[in-house]
Amino acid sequence: MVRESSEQRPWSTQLRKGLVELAVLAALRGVKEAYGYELLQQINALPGFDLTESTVYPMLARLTKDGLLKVRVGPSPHGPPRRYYALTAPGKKHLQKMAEEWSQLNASIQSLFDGDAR
Amino acid sequence: MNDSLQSPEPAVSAELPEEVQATFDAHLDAVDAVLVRYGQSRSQRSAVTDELDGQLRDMLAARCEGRAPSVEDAEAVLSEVEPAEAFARKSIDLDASPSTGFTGFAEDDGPPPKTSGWAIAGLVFNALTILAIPMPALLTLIYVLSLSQTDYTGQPQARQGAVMMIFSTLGPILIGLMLGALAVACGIVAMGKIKAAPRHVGGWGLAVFDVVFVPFWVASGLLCVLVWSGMYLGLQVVKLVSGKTNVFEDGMRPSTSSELSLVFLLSLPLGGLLAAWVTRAVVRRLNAWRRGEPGGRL
Repeated sequence: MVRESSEQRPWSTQLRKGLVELAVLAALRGVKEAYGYELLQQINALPGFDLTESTVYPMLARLTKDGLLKVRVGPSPHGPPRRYYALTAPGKKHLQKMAEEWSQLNASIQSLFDGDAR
Repeated sequence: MNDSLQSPEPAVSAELPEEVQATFDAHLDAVDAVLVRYGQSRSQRSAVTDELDGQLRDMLAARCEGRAPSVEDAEAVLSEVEPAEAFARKSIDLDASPSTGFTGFAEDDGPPPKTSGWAIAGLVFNALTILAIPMPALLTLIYVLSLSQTDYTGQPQARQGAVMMIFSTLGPILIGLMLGALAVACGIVAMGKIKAAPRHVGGWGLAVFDVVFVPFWVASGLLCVLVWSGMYLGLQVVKLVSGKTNVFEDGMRPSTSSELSLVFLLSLPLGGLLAAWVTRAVVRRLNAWRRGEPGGRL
């Protein structure tokens, strides 16, 4: 694992923070539904992400409030019922738009690295 | 769970031992308190703490692998999660960012919320109300109280003077009430804007002050008049029943003016206290409305 210098850390933190919403919505794209801790573990299993519960759970609450996610309350083997999240139709549309913007941004940055913009 | 992200989990009893549950509950309560402090609604707080509760139980189940969990296990799980204070600023950042597209990179600490211009405007209107209402009203009151019963009923000149005094002060009072109504309106608009964007717009206390200040004084005045009238009527009934012309014994002048003055002085704190009690209830409801709690309405 590559350790970041103190100069790099704030930049990468900001970058990840800006991508939390995209990551959460994208994680729900390929599945029928998932609960909060499940999503947190799935995203953090990917290299480069180190999200915490205080970031993801309020985000899920806000996305639900905004109508981008819907919630189904289902049983849990470990105690109180779980909240299972799934993308709504506006949520899918929103994710599509975000993905396009991200791809465009990514391509632009890549072109800068490749020297195409000069 | 079909199409879920994870494989089946190890089974564990849904009921936790009391002391383990209490350990988790203390942490969940602390998180809830942080979210309350930062103005999160009840539904959002519940969504967050429910998720966290589920996570704690999953982590506990994974740690215990079928055996009965202990308080030490619960504390070990809690040591792996964030402290409650971590929910403070992050939840506000996330709550305030609109889902209208790529939101960019959030700042760690944004600028402090700017005091609502509506709330400041309300303060100005309240200040103008202070100038407009009480002075003429006080003058009228002093003048009316200074008239003896004989003067008031027996001399047309004095009665006319009192009537003119009342009419000359009515204008400023009406203007003051209109300014007060504007202050209340500004406060209501400010509260709506603060609730909608707590990260950007501040001044909740000022907005609440704008809303309750003039109504408090109006209610206070009305209640004083009511108490005053009630007490004075009671006094007259006592006089009628007892057959006395003066219910006051030695040391008090036997005139209606003195009686009026006495009951007026007594009615002031009573009316003020009643109005303060009503205002306190209103402020509590407004604060509950801001937090999105049930009963948070007028």
